[in-house]
Amino acid sequence: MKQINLFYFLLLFCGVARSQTTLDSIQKLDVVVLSDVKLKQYAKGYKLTILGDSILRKNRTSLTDVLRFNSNIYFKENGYGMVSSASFRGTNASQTAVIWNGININSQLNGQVDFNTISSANYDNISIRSGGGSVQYGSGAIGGTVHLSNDLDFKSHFDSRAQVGMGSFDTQNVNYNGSFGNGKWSATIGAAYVSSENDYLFLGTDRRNENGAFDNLDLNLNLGYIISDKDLLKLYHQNFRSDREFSATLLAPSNSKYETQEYRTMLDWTRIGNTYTSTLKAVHLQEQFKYFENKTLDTNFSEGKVNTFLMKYHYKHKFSKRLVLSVISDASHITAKGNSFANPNRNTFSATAILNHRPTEQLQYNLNVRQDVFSDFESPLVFSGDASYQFVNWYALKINASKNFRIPTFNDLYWNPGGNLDLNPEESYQVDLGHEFAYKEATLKLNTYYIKTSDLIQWRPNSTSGYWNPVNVANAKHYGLEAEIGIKKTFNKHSVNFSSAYSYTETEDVEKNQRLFYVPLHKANASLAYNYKAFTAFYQHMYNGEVEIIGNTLDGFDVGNLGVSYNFNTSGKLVYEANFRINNVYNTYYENVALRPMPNRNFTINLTLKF
Amino acid sequence: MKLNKLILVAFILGLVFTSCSDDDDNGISVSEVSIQAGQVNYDEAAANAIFTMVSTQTFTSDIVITYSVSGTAEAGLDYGVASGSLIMLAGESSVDLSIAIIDDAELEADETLIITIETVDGSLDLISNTNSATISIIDNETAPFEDGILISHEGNFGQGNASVSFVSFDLQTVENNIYSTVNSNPLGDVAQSIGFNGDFAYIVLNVSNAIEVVNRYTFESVATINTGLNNPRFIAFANGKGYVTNWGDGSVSTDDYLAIINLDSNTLDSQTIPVAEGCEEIVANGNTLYVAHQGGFSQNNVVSVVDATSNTVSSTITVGDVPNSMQLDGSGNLWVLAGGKPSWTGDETGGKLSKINTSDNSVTSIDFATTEHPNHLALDNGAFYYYTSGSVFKMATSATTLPTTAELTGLNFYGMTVDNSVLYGVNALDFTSNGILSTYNLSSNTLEASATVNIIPGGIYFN
Repeated sequence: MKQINLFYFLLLFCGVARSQTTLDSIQKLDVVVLSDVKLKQYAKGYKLTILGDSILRKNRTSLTDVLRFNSNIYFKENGYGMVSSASFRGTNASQTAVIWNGININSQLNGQVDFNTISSANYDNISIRSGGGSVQYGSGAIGGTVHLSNDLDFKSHFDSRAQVGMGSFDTQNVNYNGSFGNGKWSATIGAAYVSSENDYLFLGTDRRNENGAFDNLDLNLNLGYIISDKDLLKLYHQNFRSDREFSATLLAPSNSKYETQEYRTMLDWTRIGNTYTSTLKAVHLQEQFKYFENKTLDTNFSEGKVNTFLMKYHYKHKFSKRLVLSVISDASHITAKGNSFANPNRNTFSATAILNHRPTEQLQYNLNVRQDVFSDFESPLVFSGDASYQFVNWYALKINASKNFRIPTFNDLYWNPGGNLDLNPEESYQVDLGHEFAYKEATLKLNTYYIKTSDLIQWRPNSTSGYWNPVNVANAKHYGLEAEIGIKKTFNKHSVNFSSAYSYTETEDVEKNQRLFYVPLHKANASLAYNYKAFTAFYQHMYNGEVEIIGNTLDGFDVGNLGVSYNFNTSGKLVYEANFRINNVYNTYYENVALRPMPNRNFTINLTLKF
Repeated sequence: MKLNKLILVAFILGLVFTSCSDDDDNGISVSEVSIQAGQVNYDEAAANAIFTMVSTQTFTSDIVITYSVSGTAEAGLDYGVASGSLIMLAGESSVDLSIAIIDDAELEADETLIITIETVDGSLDLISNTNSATISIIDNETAPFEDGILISHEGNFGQGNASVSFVSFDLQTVENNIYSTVNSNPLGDVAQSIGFNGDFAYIVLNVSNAIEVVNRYTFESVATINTGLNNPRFIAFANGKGYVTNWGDGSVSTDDYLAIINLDSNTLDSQTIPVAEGCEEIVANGNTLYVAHQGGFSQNNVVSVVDATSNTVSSTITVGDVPNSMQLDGSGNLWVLAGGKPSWTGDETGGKLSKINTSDNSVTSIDFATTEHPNHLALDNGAFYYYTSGSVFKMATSATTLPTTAELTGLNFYGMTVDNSVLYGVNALDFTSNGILSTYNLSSNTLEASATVNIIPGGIYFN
C-alpha cells in the first residue's frame, strides 16, 4: 500500500511539474506536502519505516524513546536523558547518519548524533531508512539513516496546537506548533521546552539518580513561498539548546554538566521545468558544546564549536516517465575551534549521479555513484544499486547493495594529543534483501542483510608515545534479520492498530573474534493501540536482549508503557485532548548502559489544545 | 662376700630413694591422676587430639575421671564435646582421652584447647598438680590471598569494572575479581593504586572518589571511605595516619590536596594539606612524606616534602618534568624519575633521574635525551630498572651515566616492578581486552611466565 501511495505521490509531483502554465498548477502544488522527496524516490529497494505525526504525538518524549519503542534501532543511553547514541544493525553511533530535511547533521567532532539533543516534537514525520546510504547522504550512513522532516503545506489553513504537560521527577514540558498556508505562502513554527529534575529512584536501593537534571529548548521556523509557477523558495531554521547535568553511575559520582547548542538553517530554491527539476540549497550548520567538569565552577570548562557552510545543487532530468537522471554536487567549508585542537578547517566537494529507471510497472531500480574530495584525506568512490519488483499486488521483493564510508572526524584527525592525520575513511560493503507483503490493512516486512566494515577507526593506546591514537585497526561483520509487522483493524467505530518490530543481529569483531560491545542479539518491540470515538488507549513493550560489555555481559530487560487519551469536543475547531501515560508500568529495574539504572515507574499527564 | 656387699648397697640405696619419695608426698602414699597431651600442636585436619590420664598407682576398682574443656577453640565448631568423663579400669594406670577435632573451612587464628581434670572418683583429692593439658589446634586454612601477587586493574573510565586479581608467584594460578567475589559487590571505578598498612590494603578508586579498605589477606571489606576525596590517586602511611593524594577537579590547578585518614576509624580528618598541581605518587620515609607532582591534566616538576607530625609542606623540591615514580634506597636517598614533557605539548623535554638526599634535600640528577620519556622506576639489589619506549634498562645506583643497552626490548608495559631479580610487568593491550602479567628472569633476561589477568592491569603488589 505504502508503495502505491508513494508512487501516486511522485506521479502527482511530476505531474505538477509538467503542466506549469496556469495558476491552477499552483493550486495543485498547494496540496503537495513538500518534504524530503529524495528519500522516498531513490529508496525503492530499501526498507523505509515512517513514523508519522500520530506516533510522534503519542510518544511526546525524547527521540530516543520514540525510536526505541517504534523501530529496530537499538539505543545506548547513558542514563535517562543523558547522551544517547543509536546502533543500527549492530553498527556504532558514528555509523548512523541523521538527516535533517535532507542534510546530514552528524557532528563533525565525533561523527555522532546524540538522540537526546533532538526533540521529536517539531517534526512532521521521522523516517528510518535501513541500509547503507552514503551515496545520497554521505559519511556515516552505514547502518542506516534517520530522517527528520518538516513538511510545508500550502493549502489555506491556520492550525495551532499547544500542549502543557507534567510528569514524575519534576518534569515539565510546554510545546506550541503552528502551521499556516494561503496558497502562496506556507509556514510552520514550533517551540518545545522540556525540563526535568530526573532524580528517579534506583529500584531496590535508597539512592536516586544524582546529578541528572536536564532541560532543552527546540525552536523551529520553516517557510515556503511560491515565487512563480516554476519557482519555489523554502527556508528551514532550527535552534536546539540543551543544558544537562551528567548523571552519576552506581560506582562513580558526578558533578559535571554539559551544554550544547545547534543552529541549522537552510535556504532552498527549487525550480520545476517541463523535463527537469533543479534545487539549490544553501545551508549553515553550527554545533557547539561546553563541558563543565564541576558544574559549580562556571568559568572552568572545555568547549568546541564547528561551523559548516554548504552549497548543494541537485539537477534532475526526466528523459521519460520511466527514466530520470539526477546529478547532485555539493561543496562545503567546515571550520572548528576548541580546547583540544587548533583551528582546523576542511573543504569538501562531492559529486553524485543517480539513475532512476522503471522499465515496467513492476520493476524499478536505481543506480548511484558518488565521489567525495576532502581537503585533508582521500575518500573512496562509493556506489549503490537497489531494485524493487512488485510480483503481485501483495508482495514485493526489494534488494540493495552498496559501498559506504565514514570519514575521520575532527577529533580523530586533530585532537591534541593523539590526532592522526594519516587516517583513512572507514569502508563498508553491504547487501540487503527485503520482502514486503501487504494484504488489506496488514503489512509484513522481512529483511536480511550482511555488512562488512573495514578500517574501523578506534582509539588505541600507543606504547611508544604513551598516549592514545585513532588508528584504522578493526574490521567487523554484521548480519541479521529484521521483521516488521503492522496490522490495522476497524469495526464500527472501534479501531485497533498493532505494530511490532524484531531484530536479530549477529556481529563479529574480526580481529578479536568476539561479538561487538553493546549490540543485543535480540531486540523486539510491539505496540497496540485501541481507539473508540474520542477515547484512545495504547500499550507499548520493548524487549532488549543482553549485550556484551567490556569484560562482562549486561542483562537484557523488558519494559512496558501504558497510556490513555481522551478528546473533548471533537466536533468543533477547538479540540482538547487529555493524555495520561505510565512509563515502565511493571516497575522494572533495568540498565540500558551498565551501572546506569533507568527510571522506575513514572507518570506523565498532558493537556493539548488544537485550534 | 662380694655379692652380699652389693645386695647391702642396693638395699640401702633403695631405702634412701623410698624415703625421699615419701618425703615429697608428705609421707602419705596415695594415688594421683595427672594429664598430658599427646602432642603440643594438632593440625585442624587431624581427626582427634589425644590426651592421656596417668595415675601414679593402680586402682583396685574402676574409677570415673571427669574433665572440663576450655581454651579459645569453640565446642561444636572446633571440637566435638564440651566436657565429660571417662573410666580408668581397675588395675590400669593410664587411660586415653580422645577429643574429636573439627576441620572447619573458616580462616582463623590457631586456637587452644585445654583439658582440665575436675574430679577423680568423685573427689578432688586424687588430682595431680598437673591437672590440665593444653594443645593448639592449627588452622589449616591459609589466608586465600597471602603468598602471592596482587594486581590492581584500573578498568575502563566510567565503566565501574575496576578489579583486583590474585596470582601465584609462578603465575600458574590466577584468581580474578577477588574483591567482588569475597564481598559480593563491585569494587568501583578505576582502581588507581593500592597502599598497604599492617593487615590492611587500601584500594584507591580514582573515579569513584573512594578508598576501599580490606583485609589484605582475605579481601573482606573493612570500610569504604567515600566522602572528602576528589580524584584520589595514591596513598602512603606515616605517623599513624594515611595520606592520600587528590587532584581535586582535574582541570583546576589550585585545588590539589592530601587527605588524611584516621586509620582507627577509617574516616577522613577534617584537615587537608593543600599541595601543588597534579599530586600523584607518595612515599613515606619515617614521618616525612614525599609527593611527586606530575601535573594532572598539565605538567608539573616538583616533589613536595610533607611533615606528617605537623601536617605541613616543609619544602618543595624541583625535579624533572612530570615526575612519575620514586624509590627510597637504604642510604637515605629518594630517587625520583621524571618522564619529561611529551612531544604533543609542543615543549618536549627529556626525562630526568634525580637523587634527593633526604637529610638536606640536596638534589643531583642525570638527564635523558629530549625524546626519551622513562617511567616505572624500580629498585632491586642495588640496581635501578626503568622502562622507556618498550625497553627496560638497568643501572647501578652508583652509576653516573645512563645505560645504553636495554636488558629487555619489545615490551608494552602499563605497570612494572622488580623483586629479587624477577621483573613483573603488566600489559593492558588495547584496554578493552584482558591484560597480561609477565615475569622475566633478570639474570638471563628471559621471559619466565605469563598469565592473563583482567581489564587494564596497572599496579603490581606482593602480598
